[in-house]
Amino acid sequence: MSSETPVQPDQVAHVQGLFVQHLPALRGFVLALVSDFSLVDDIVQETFLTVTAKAADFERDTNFRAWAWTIARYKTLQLLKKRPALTSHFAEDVVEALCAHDASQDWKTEEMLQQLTKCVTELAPKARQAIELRYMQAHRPPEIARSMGWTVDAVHVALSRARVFLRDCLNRSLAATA
Amino acid sequence: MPLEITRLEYLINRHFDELLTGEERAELERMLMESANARARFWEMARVNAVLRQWGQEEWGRKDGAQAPLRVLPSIPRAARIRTVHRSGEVPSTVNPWWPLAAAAVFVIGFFVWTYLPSQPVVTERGVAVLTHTSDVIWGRGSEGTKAGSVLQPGWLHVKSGVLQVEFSRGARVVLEGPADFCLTSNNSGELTRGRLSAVVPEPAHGFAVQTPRFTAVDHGTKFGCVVPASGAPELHVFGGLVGMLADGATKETRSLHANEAVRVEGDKVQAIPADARAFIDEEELALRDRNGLHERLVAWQGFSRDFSQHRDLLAYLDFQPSGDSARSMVNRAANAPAGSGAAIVGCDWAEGRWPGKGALEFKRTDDRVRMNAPGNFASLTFLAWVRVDGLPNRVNALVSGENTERLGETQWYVFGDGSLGIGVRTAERGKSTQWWHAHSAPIFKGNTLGTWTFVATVFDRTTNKLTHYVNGQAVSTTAINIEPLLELGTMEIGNLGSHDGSAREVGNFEGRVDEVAVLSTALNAGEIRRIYEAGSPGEARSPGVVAQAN
Repeated sequence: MSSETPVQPDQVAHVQGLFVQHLPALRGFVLALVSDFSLVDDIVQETFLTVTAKAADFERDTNFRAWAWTIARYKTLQLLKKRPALTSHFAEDVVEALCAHDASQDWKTEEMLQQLTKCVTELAPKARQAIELRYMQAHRPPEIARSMGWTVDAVHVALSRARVFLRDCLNRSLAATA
Repeated sequence: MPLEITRLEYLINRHFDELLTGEERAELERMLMESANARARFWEMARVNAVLRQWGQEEWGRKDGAQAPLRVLPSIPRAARIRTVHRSGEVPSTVNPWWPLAAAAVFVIGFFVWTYLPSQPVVTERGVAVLTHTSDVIWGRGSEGTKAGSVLQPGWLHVKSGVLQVEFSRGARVVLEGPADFCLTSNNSGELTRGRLSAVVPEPAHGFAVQTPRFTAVDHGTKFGCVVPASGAPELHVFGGLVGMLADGATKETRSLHANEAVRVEGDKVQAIPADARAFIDEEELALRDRNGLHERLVAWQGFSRDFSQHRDLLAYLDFQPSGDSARSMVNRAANAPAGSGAAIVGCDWAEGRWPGKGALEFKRTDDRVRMNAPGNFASLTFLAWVRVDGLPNRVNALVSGENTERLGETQWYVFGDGSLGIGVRTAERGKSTQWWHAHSAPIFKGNTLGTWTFVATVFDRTTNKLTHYVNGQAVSTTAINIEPLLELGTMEIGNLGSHDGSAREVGNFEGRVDEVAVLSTALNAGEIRRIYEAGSPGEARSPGVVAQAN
């Protein structure tokens, strides 16, 4: 196994550097398949460890993204097998079908983040509060409902509308800057 | 513009919110397996979800950095802290053979995030806490008008008497007893210069700090109390977990207090005293007081409502008390109600009103509405409603709207997109350049007012030729009436723009809750409006000014 061969320290640093560079997109990729934030962290962490351990396998100037995504997909499936009772993720064949889709690797996270920061300021105050509780505080909708005095359904509607609004705002902004 | 959400988008959103039922998951999986288009839509929404999470993590990091000077005791290792913020109440995983590598990863990731941050932070107005409960609060100068449900910005709360609860956005919950002066200094810290405070600090808010004139208490979880008397020595009581104490001016923790320990700090002397949980009002007791107080107000309002329904000029009076969970109609309680003027509920769901036990209708879909007949033409009209505006999705967000007859005098009462209270009366037929006469107040519903129960009233008074808008019993704007037509409502709608023959019309649905509506065929005066507000006020904090007027 090539991971048993001596690895140059600069190869590990190189691979870890690439990992960090692609981290936002990788995390986003896993988050799509597994909606539980803390499970996502576990998978990303496992992926980092594997990428580091297999650093010698990675050939420079090849597609790091494709390589790391394959590892992340494998780690996701592995975790899903371990926790079949969980409802926050998809069945294996669905994960495979989603990963086979071209769009699974099409992330321009830096641009999107910059535009999103502007789009978020356009949300109504309550929608924004719900978005902050969900994405900054990592609360689940029932916790958000308690804290805002809403029903879980109302929280879900607010979050869904906010996301659709943000998607449209992002599409507009990205089209304008393209 | 309304945001229509398709079934596929609905299911994808439920997936991201961890709300899918087994059946819904199967349905979504089927859609994704069968259609490449569905998979493309999925990834499109997934990117928004992912970039939102990235934004949330970076914002959290930015806020955490901004309040670093207040965080005098970085007690949790950086790596562990990153894990603990993800989920309140979840125990972080402990033993991990890969820990050194993971820690290195977190360091590298942290470095990346730090270098990535834009040099100019985005400046936006954002609250650090929410005022969740008030019980018999009389506000001091500078805090007048603060209401339960308000989002609080950094700054002082001055309380003459009463009890309130503040929930910080990092998760710490504080019960404050007046007289008190408490400053919210960040989303995880405050300064108490007078009063009595108890705090519950869940895991994500560890590090929550309260500064007093003699010491700073830094909570490592879970429950403590502070007393700062107007004169005399401040005290710190710990009821659960561990609290660090820093003497005034110290940069390091000078003492740690465990559960059931307390100290009084007098000058440089720190004296141990018995911890006394009974001296503090806790959340449960406040909730109980709140419930009892609110119930009394509900009963008082029911009496008032019975008398008010006898007002001879009432055209429509809906109290939003459902006859059952599935009630789809409401009785017009006006004593002289025209025959056949009951209200039909279309779409809206029943919800809790401004008191526990009081009904309300929730309007959230573009087609949600209540329809009823109010025939006739009127020289004057008074509109009254208790509403909770949750959002302003449209240019016009209708409160009460007349039938879309396109006749002169057709009347609409609404919240405008900028948050102002408005009325519109048709003064010319379609095709003319100016078809409507409008009168708007200054913006009312914005920031703190969104999400709180508010009493709105508008009086179109032809005897004085003045149009007056009222908010919570106080006149907020007056406009001269210079139009001729008599007002007309016909088959009016509450919470939506009236339709006539199903023809398409601008989307103008109301978003939020409504729990009382009245329309009168005459003009009520300012004193009558104020009395109706006071009888129906849900019992939230009152400013001394309003109390004086009420007496």
